[in-house]
Amino acid sequence: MEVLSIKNLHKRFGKKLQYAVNNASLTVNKGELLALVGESGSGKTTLLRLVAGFEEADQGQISINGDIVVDDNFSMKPEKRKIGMVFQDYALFPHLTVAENIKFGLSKSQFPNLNERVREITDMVGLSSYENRYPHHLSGGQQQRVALARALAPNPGLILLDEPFSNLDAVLKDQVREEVRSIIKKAGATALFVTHDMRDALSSADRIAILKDGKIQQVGTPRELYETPKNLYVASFFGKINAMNATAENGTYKLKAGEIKGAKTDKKGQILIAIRPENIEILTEPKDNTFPAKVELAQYFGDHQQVHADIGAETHVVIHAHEKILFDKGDNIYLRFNPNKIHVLDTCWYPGLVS
Amino acid sequence: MSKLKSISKLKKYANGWSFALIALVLIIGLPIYTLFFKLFDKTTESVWSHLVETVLADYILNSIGLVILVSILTLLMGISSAWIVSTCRIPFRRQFEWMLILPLAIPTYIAAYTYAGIFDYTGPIQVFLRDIGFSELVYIDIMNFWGVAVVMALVLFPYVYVVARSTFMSQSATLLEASRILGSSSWKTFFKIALPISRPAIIGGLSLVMMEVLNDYGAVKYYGVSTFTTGIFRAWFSFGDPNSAINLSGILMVFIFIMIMAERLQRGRTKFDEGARIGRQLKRYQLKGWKKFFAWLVCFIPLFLGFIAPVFQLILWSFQTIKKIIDFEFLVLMANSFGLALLAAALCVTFSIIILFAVKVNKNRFFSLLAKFAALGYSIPGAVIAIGIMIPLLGFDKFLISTWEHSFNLKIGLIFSGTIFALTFAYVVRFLTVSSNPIEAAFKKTGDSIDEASYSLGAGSFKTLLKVNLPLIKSALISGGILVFVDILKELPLTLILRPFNFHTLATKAYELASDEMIAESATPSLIIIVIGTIPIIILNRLMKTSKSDGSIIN
Repeated sequence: MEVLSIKNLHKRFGKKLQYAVNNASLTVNKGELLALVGESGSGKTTLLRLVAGFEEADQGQISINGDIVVDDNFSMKPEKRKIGMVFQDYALFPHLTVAENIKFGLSKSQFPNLNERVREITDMVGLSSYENRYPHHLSGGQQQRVALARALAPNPGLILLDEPFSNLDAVLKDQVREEVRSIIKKAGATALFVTHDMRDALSSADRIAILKDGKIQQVGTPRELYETPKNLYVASFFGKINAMNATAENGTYKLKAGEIKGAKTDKKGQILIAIRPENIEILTEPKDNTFPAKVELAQYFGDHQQVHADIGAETHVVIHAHEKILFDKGDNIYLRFNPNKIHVLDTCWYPGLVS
Repeated sequence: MSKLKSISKLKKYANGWSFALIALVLIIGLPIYTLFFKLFDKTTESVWSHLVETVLADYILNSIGLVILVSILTLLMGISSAWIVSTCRIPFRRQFEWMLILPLAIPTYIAAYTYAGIFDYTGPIQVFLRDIGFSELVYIDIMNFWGVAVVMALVLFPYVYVVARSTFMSQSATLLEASRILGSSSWKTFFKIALPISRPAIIGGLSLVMMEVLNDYGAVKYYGVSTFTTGIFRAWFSFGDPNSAINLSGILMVFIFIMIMAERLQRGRTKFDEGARIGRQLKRYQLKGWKKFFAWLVCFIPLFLGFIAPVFQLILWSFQTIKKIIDFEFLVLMANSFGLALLAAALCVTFSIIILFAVKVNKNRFFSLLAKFAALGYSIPGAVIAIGIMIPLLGFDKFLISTWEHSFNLKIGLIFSGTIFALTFAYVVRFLTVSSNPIEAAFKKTGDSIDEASYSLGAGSFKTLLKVNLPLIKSALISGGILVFVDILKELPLTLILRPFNFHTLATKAYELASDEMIAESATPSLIIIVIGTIPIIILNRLMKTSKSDGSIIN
């Protein structure tokens, strides 16, 4: 069942030409955690605030649990939308205790015994002994859990989290990601969260939507995005990737520098191919289906070496080598591209990234 | 489609807060549009042309001259004492740090007649000179332009001192140390680094001094110097010519407008004073010998002349006259002053909350402009506001009286003009800024996400204000209220024009007694005003200690 459904949403700020959110459509299913990932300025926070009702859409539709909350000429007030929200700076009420913070959004009609509900929620987030503390007496991770508890307490249909992990230090982050995910799952809530850090999304989300320039580039499970990225932008979100223009014919990719044979593809004509650094093998002897190359730069990272190599015809590639041999600038090597790990992308997306 | 869109966009601003904001601004702006529209009424009356021919040049020269002279004097006193207090080690440095703000507690008119009394023929200085054998020919006459400028500067320099001190103190020590490492002397460091960086803030403080000078009526009147404010009083009370009063007010407003624009311009896009605000505190210079003594004097003299001497004199006078002055009438006087100030302060705080929260709810350029417009009052001299309120209210009363007489055959008195209503109204117009500044700063500090958190939990705007915002800005509400309370207690020109017949406050009584050659008798009400005036200074000092603010709290 769809808890959140966004259709063709548009938002522009002031008289700017560029859309902050450009024709975005998205659905979030019951019990699902969906992460909106993008760089700053990609429109991910605007999209979240449009759902919350703190910004007004120019065009498009949003419905929550089947009720339309945004439509042309209509926008439900944020306080009527029955949404929980966890803010980037937590926005805990500093003059209220943990219990009072949680109680703020609860109504007698929904929960006849308010104190019992507060206890239930603080138990769930593991803060039952902190009920009477004030926010400034809590650590960052604890404040985060209070913010989450406050948002979950009224049993909202949907909870929104704005950069929930950005205020935490690296050590705490790993632990909190896991905690937040398990609390949301335990509460049976549906969540949409915004982050700029792919690792946040990979470790806590069921599905990920990647945004760029206000447009949703691709939505899918982490595995789908990694294995079948639609375009170079999505592909490059998971780390370095080598992209090259090629011509496809009968399972062979023809590059300027040579040919890669043996690909299981039925693509034909001009295409854009991409391969990750770990899917290129370095050999010291020429073999079938290899490219002669020259090492331009080799960096040692302990578990792997990052080798930049020139394969001729103005084409440069990056390889992650796990061999024991140490390479050095000027070494002559041979590269084998694993034909089954080559992604075929939408052509000419962000041509600047293509080498 | 697009038309529908824009209508629906407007609809989101249609709420109780925006209506309240617009209504309040319309009412508070009354004196401003009165002046504006009346100014373009053609007046060919003889009084005005007579004024133009005879005294207008005097008014302009005296007003501008006073502004310039007082500015120079306050800059000298304020900056030098601030620099020494922030960068040098001198005896009683910590005490000087806050005591140098105390002169601000003495209104200019009280300082004026106190000094007049001190230099008077029977005053302590003349008596002392005669006692040590000087002939009576050595008479220092301070009842003139120069005298009033010096006296005003003595009690107004803390405006400059406060902002100068806080910028000097917040300047990064590394910046000043870098300058010294590069071979600059402490003098060069001051002129090349510290002063240029502090300039925008200091001019901001100076503009408050200028406003006070142009607002003053009591001091210039007492010393017989004709300025715009005395001119407005004369046109209103002596000639009974409202049009001339309005014309004078209009010209005065033009000056003030130019001043405000100049201040904005000089502030410009200077952002460097923000960035300089990091780093340790400076290690203070250790002065020796006569340099140390001289530095100490630079701090002591303004404090002594600006506060200790006049207060000491007032205490002496008060002892001599207190039996005569404290009676039932005096208690009524106190009740009048305190009650009125309390009422107006409560209104100012309430209106500030409504206006600022309405802007918070309706994020829109137009509404924040309206809110700024409502806060213009503090830059308009009290006499001008008084005229701007009196004229429409009188007209309204006349209209009411004639229609009631006409249709009901009933005789009613003045309802709005010449009543407490008009006075309270005028106080709110003039002092709304004073309460809205700290409240606005507090709202800014609490931020928007806390409101959004409240909305996301299902609370409406009213609950959000009551349960979330107000508890968080409690201290700003209190300090805003106190600041307005004290300002009203000290207020003179506006109260003199708008007070009901035979109605006195501490300020008007003190001024009247002093004008009637009963300076000693005026000491007791004056002292009460001063003592209460020190309260916000203590608050201010504490605020600066905790937040190292840039002085905007008094702005």
